[in-house]
Amino acid sequence: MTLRAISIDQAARLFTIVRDSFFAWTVPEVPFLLDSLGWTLTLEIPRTGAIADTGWGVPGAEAELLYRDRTVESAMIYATSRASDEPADRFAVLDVFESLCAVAARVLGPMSAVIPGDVPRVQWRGRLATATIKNVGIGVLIDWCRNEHQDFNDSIGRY
Amino acid sequence: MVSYDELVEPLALDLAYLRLSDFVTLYANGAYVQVIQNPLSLRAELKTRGPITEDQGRALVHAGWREPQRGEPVWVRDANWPLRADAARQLAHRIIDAARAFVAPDIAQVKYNARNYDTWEPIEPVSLAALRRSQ
Repeated sequence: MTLRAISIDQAARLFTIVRDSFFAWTVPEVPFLLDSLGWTLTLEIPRTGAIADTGWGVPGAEAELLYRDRTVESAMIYATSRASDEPADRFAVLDVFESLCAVAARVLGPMSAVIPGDVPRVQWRGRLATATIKNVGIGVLIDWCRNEHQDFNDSIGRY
Repeated sequence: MVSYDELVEPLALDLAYLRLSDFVTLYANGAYVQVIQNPLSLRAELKTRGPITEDQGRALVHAGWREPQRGEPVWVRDANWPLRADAARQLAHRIIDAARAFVAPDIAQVKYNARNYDTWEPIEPVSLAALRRSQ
């Protein structure tokens, strides 16, 4: 098995910030958000987006921020390395997904949506933003998304 | 010809990615074992052809099946969603063991139905594709 994933402690810290952050989803606030997360900006394209190094020590575990002008629409956070096609890795993805859902439930409380399927997902919708944990088969992602953008994605069936 | 044992691992992965209300039924000779995706669990059901022995019943209970209840003439086994790897493998094992013991000892006799219960659209789990190719 080659799959690597963030630790339970790293996940708990992330979900705690998701729960407690005053981030208002504007681009000027991004440096403060990254600082609270301990992340480092590695690339930024004005009005388009940014990539941050999470520093978790997991290959490929970076975060992609999507901008629309001065608004941050979402942060897509890679919680695992890319799984191989080997059954051991594919089964390991199941364990990571379940573990992250359990940690998130402890920190964020009851989930707001549970969506089994080709891309199993569990969501926690907050006042401003929604956190979604996704099992994409080759890994697990955490999508932290402004509610308006989440609603738009839902309306067009994009996940 | 694919064997029962060869079905376990691919079925386990399939179970983890069923959509809400997707179900898979293995049937033959008036008996079936099936599994359906509920919102927060997967429910497996086993219907035998007729009465089973006490030893068989004890074995099913030992394997985590719940005896038929009044108004529910099937053995039932639930697994919480999302499935961890060991839970997916265990559920797949129990389904395959039940198929071998109570549906048909020879896998060549087994037919399957895989659909979404709400839409009745067919689904094509990878594990059953292996079964289909072998028939």
